[in-house]
Amino acid sequence: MKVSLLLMFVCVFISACQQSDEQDLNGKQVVVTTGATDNAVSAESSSLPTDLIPASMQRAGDAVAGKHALINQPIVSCGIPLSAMKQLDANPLYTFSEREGEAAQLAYNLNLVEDEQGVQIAASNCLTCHAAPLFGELVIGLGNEFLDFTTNASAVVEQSGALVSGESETQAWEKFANRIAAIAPYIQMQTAGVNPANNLTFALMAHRDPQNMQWHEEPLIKPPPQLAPPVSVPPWWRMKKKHAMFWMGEGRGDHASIMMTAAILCADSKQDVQKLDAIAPDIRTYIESIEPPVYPFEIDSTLAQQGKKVFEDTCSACHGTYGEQVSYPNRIVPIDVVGTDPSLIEFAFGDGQAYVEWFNQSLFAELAQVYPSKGYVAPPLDGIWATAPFLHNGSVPTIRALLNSPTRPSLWRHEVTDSASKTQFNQSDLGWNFIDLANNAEASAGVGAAWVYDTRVKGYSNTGHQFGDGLSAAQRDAVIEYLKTL
Amino acid sequence: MVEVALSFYGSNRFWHVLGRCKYRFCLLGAATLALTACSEGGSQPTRNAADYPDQFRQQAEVIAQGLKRLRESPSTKDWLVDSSTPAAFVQPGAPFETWLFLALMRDQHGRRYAMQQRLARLKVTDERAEAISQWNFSDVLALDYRLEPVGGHSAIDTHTVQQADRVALSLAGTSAAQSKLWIGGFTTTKTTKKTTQRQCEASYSIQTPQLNLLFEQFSCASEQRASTILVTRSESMRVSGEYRFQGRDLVLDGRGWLERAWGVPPDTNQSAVVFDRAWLWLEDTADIQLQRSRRRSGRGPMISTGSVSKPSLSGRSDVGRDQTAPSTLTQVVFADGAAQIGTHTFPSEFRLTEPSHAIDVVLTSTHTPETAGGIELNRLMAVAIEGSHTGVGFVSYAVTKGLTSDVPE
Repeated sequence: MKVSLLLMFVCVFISACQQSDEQDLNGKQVVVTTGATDNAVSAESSSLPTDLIPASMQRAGDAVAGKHALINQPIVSCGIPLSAMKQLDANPLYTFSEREGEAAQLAYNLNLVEDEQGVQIAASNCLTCHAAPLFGELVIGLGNEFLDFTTNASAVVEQSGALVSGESETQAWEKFANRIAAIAPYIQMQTAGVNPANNLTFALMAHRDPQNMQWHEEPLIKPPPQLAPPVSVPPWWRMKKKHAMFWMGEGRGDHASIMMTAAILCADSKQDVQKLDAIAPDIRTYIESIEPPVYPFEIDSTLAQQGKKVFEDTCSACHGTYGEQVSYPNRIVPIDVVGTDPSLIEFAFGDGQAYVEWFNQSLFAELAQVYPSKGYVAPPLDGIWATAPFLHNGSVPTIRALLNSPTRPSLWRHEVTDSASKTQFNQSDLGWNFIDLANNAEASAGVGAAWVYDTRVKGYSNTGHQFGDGLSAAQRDAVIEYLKTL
Repeated sequence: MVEVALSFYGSNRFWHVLGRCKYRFCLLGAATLALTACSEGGSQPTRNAADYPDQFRQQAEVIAQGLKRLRESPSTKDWLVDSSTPAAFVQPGAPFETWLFLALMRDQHGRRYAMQQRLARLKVTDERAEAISQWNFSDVLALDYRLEPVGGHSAIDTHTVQQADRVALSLAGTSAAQSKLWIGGFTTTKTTKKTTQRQCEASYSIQTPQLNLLFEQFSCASEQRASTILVTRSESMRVSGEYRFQGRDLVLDGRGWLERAWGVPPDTNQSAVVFDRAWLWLEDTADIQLQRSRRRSGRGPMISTGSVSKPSLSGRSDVGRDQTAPSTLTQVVFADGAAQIGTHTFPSEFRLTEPSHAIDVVLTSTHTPETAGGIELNRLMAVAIEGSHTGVGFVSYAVTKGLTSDVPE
């Protein structure tokens, strides 16, 4: 397992719009901004259900300060002592030149933090999941779809303890190791590439008092199921258009408050949360400023123009419009319409209600609420070309397969384990090269088995979203070409 | 990635051997003369001792000081000359190399034996010495060797430990050209047969005053890398040879492993986590390699991981080209038994379960209070296996209790 996976925390951020005069957790006035987009494509323009998510109040922040906080402040306050981390990963491939001192030598997804004993710690920031190398460059905001959570996260952290010595460093390491040991059973995945973000957050909630944030070694509410539902990590640049966070649109209200819940691994008091809250609006504002990468290969502009027409006739009612007439409806498509894997929804309306209640009784509920829907949000498609695999569970390897459901592989394996090589990117189908194992279970064993995506596993289904099936081959080609321009 | 690399240093006895070595170097200082030249101008880029972790640096400094005394207080005593200029360290900046050979064998009468031999090489100066004499103290070799019976047959006096002070008797050396290391009568020679990206055929000849063994390697070793450590770890190899004991020649056959490491070792004596290891031969069934992490504090989870490979042939010489690739043991639990060896603080029994492979066995140490010796940082002991499977193996147990701050003589 890569060093970056030692520390896995998911901060899912969002941005949006409007104004208010409420107060945040630090007692400061909430400043409200107005949204850059609206529901320009109205529900009336299609025959789809009309569950459109309204915009919600957001606290304003400073994007520059937000990036600085993101890569320098203690997003997560525990981790591996710096002395050990330097032995584990002495020469990380991607670092931030704007960092200073020892921090400048840390990998992009680790922040330098100092604990109460003065121990310097390499602690994860949000970029472990929300940044990824793409063709040799680190792209902040691109969800990393090549992380491997198929092994026991606790095992890696425990092993790192062999590099930790001395009383204060051991104490610092042990706090982190204990927390990871508590949540590790719930964040192990069947397949490399998909993310256990939901279960991670649930596991953190289960061990905490929602009001005073005190950590309990034994869970206070029933822990999530150990078969974690897989999620694909959505890119941050979508957030400027979205009114709600997460695939079901359940994160409503102040997104800065919601995103903090994924960073509470070692936030053990209201004061700790207030420290996070002080920087969260800036970070949210920074995320709102991020733009998607530009498609780096040639585009047939004539074909793309043809695709635009097809897209707007077929897809825009849910996914919005792009170019000069920007719109995004923030539409929740009911599960019986979209037909994709229902596991997230089933859990949210089953045992997951405990977590909904936890949040809505917690410190974070002062400005935000969790409100799951019985459907999935059709996301904005900016930069969609870079975000394979597709659907909320990452079950479909290419856009072409997404738009032609009978051709989707039911058992497939990533041909690559990172997004580094341009030659491994399929420009025709928009996705990373993969091998269709054609239900050959034997072919899925042995070397690379962790990278096999089995759509027969609960939560991993590739059904639904059949809206492209009716396209002709030429129309499909045109839409794919158009998507490269977004 | 780091798993084996870290565990390796957590499971060896090198520090114990070197701990003894450092005292004996003081004795050497009174007797050895300026043959220990450490000349300037070496071209090999190396790290300074100050860059090393504390424990390593302390050891290196003690040895370097001993060498300085040797130069300042020359002796007129003549010594044998059989060392050559040592081969370069494999990696620049890696002042520490080890070779751990483990073998589990039967003789022609069905009696079982376990052999462990660890060679360690430590750079003690930052310059590679010129061969102005055949003496060279730019590095030190240490050897820890033991051949013991497993399973109740009569004890054979094979317990031998050759320590680093043999270097001072000029009976140790390394040779890159012949891929050879030797300490006194103990010699290890590698012969490379075929090396491609997928094939790494080689043999290792191990010779001791009484034992000749040949390890035959057919597959490439897996590589584990961290910033300061590199470990290559073989799948099981075929082992064959002869043992000369009390005028009788015993023919040995079995299997073995080699772990080769380079790097700058961490200070495992104080680390928050230690590793236990096991290499097991479930006869006619499978070879297993295990690792377990354990906190020195005794709190927190113990996490076991492992792999199994199944030979495709039967019989004693069933290791070779057709051996299957190892697969991960997904449900392995490796637990301590309650029994201890005498008054020592480490267990004498372990229980291994792996439901998906129907494995439920007890591993019993061959050590007795009489043979266990002192407490070491790491106890590498042969074990007999009984339960759902039978066989023999090795367990390396990291001792965390009963140690003093100094390594016992």
